[in-house]
Amino acid sequence: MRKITKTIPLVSASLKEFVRNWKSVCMLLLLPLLIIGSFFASFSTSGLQKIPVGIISQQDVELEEFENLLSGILITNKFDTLEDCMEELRKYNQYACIDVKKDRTYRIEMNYDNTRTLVIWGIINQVKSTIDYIKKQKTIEVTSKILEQVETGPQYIDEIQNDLAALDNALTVQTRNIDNSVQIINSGLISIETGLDSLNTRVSNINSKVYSLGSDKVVYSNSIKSSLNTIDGYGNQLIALGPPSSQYGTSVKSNTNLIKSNINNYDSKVDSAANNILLETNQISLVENTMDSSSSEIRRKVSEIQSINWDLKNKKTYVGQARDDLDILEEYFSKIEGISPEEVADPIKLSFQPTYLPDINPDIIRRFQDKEQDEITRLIKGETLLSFQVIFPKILLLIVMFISLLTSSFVCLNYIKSPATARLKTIKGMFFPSFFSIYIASSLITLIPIVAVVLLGNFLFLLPFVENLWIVCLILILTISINVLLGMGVSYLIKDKTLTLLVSIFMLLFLLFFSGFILPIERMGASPAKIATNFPGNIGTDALNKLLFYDQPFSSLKINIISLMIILFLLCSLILFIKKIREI
Amino acid sequence: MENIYFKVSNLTTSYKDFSIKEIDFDLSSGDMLGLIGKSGSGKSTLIKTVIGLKKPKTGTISFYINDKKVPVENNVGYSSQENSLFPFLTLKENIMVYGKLMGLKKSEILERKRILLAKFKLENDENKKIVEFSGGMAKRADIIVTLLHNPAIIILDEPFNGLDFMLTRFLWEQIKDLAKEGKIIIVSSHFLTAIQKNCNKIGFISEGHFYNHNEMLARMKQRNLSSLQELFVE
Repeated sequence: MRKITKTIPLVSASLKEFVRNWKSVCMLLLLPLLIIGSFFASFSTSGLQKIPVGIISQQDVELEEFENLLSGILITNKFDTLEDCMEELRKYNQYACIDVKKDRTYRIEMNYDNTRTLVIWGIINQVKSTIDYIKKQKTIEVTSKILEQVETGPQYIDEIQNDLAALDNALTVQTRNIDNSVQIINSGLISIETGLDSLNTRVSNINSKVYSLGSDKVVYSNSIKSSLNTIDGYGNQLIALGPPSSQYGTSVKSNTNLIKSNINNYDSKVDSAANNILLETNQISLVENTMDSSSSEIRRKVSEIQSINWDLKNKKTYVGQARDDLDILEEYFSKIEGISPEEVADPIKLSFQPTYLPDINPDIIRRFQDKEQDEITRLIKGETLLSFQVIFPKILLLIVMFISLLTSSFVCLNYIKSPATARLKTIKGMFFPSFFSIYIASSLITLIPIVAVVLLGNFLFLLPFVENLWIVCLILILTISINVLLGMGVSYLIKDKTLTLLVSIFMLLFLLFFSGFILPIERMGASPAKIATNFPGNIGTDALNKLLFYDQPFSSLKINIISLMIILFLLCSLILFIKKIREI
Repeated sequence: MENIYFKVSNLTTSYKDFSIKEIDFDLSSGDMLGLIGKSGSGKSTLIKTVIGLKKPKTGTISFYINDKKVPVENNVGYSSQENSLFPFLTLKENIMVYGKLMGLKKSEILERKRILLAKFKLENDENKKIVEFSGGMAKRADIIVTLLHNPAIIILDEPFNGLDFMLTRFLWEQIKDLAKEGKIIIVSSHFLTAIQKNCNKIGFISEGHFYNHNEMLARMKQRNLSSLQELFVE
């Protein structure tokens, strides 16, 4: 309690000393506020400055669209030759020289000034995305033409389908007719063969009857002849009996001779007829054989026709297959028709979905009522506000770092160098009160610009500082305390104003670098990145980001808060030790 | 009036590579010790050791009020060569701050302020900042704050530097009044005549040695010297 009663008047004295010294007020309050103001003003709401780039093109190359698209952030200047542009680039008058050539396709060569890395990547990305956009538009154009052509494809397929259907039907009819014909021919052949067999039998019968008739003729002829010879004998006997009887005998004999001669004639004629019959039957047999072989030939040919017919039937499946293929082709065409030109031009849609979008406060919309809707959107929800918002916690903690470190160095050195200190040292029990008075006074002085920045963040950049007031206060108090203690530590250690100022500036540069503001922590080497991650400023930024952008509960910030508390405790112990050693 | 006794025995103190050895002296109520020596002889170092700002290498410092041993720190009023006040605070604010730091109640502070401002003739300047004061006013203001808690021992380190004759005389009068009140006064100064005239005891520091009053007298008698200037020149 006695320590507190001693601390309060000392804090009050330190604050009055600070406030009444116009130099300190200017340097540590007004100047930081001015710097902060100008710092935020440098983030122009109207966006980036336009950056000059040179364009070199052939006479016949149409660049109007390209230039129009780039005009958003770039000023394009035309050059006759690449050398002219490069000369200007080397004089730092151009950021890049874009050489556009055209033969069958466009060839764009971008010569960029890689000594201006922070800006140049923005330009390169802008040019790249512009070219991508134009490329996409051109692809859409060409694809639309191709798809128009593709649309006529199904008409041709339908015609081929109809032809193939007709062919299929014709083949069906033809094969069926062939089948019927073959059947008819086969049955005809069977009839012919049956007829030939019957004819063959009949010819055989005729032949056997002719042979039988020949043998019967010989028998009957011999028998008649023998009977005639007998009759001749009788005639002879009658002849021998002489006339009248011999007449009768001669008449008998002439008749028998006539009969014999007739019989012989008839025999000859019968033989000749039989031979003729046999000749005819032989001819018939020959014809029959010819017919038989013809029938066999016909049957073989029918068999061939049948096999051709089978082939035809099989070939008909090809027609079916072709029709199926055409169906597939038609489906393929219909699929192609279904493709939109945009799909071909930009088949992979890369969509960037930011996970954090700032809320629009109705009051803010009202405040910007007199502005254009586009401008309101850009200001409130657009890139400008978003870029402000995302950088704000880091800037806030950088401001905390700068102001608290410099203020505490100033207040601490003021205390050390104050004439009053000689007397304060003679008062018993001033070790802790003097320490805490510097700490509290520095923190309170630091709070003024910090509160201003926080209010700026809350009401101008719409970050929910006030909504999360107590956690924000806790994080800020911890980071302010750590930086105040750092400043006190340097002052206690050095005790000399000029040297302390120098060391503080070097320390600030070091802290600035390790805060990831100059080089992102993610791009640092493993060890420096690890150190930087555990820097109080970065722990604080991390906690503020979680809180302000994603409204994380206290439990997810616990580790950051505990880390800051540990750092604060260790630093506090170290600074007290330095104070003791340095007899302040 | 309190019976105060202050004794320094066999004290050795140092600053950087320089030390003062065998410091022995004692002071009682009403004693005024004039501390003399060349610039850089170690007067301020000795004073800082006596008031507890520096730890002695050897020796003891004892302080008694009414035969009761008490710590020196709580009963010493120290005015350094430069004025030990908050420059941008008014005199009144300085008085209030130091009063509170010294553990005084507000009423006590106001009472002491009234007495001391009147005594040192600064009643009309209490609302001025110290930076606005002249050298003499600032010294008086410093002494007011030194006396604020009514210390038993008052140590004034070179209080007359840069002051005009009138103010020096005024201050000596005030110091002597304090001694008459029974306080122990230790004053370091280069004004040897004034020291010899006003102080009843003298301490001389030379080449790392402290010569107390008796040693000084013996030394002056031995060398047949009549003034401190002669001793100083020798």
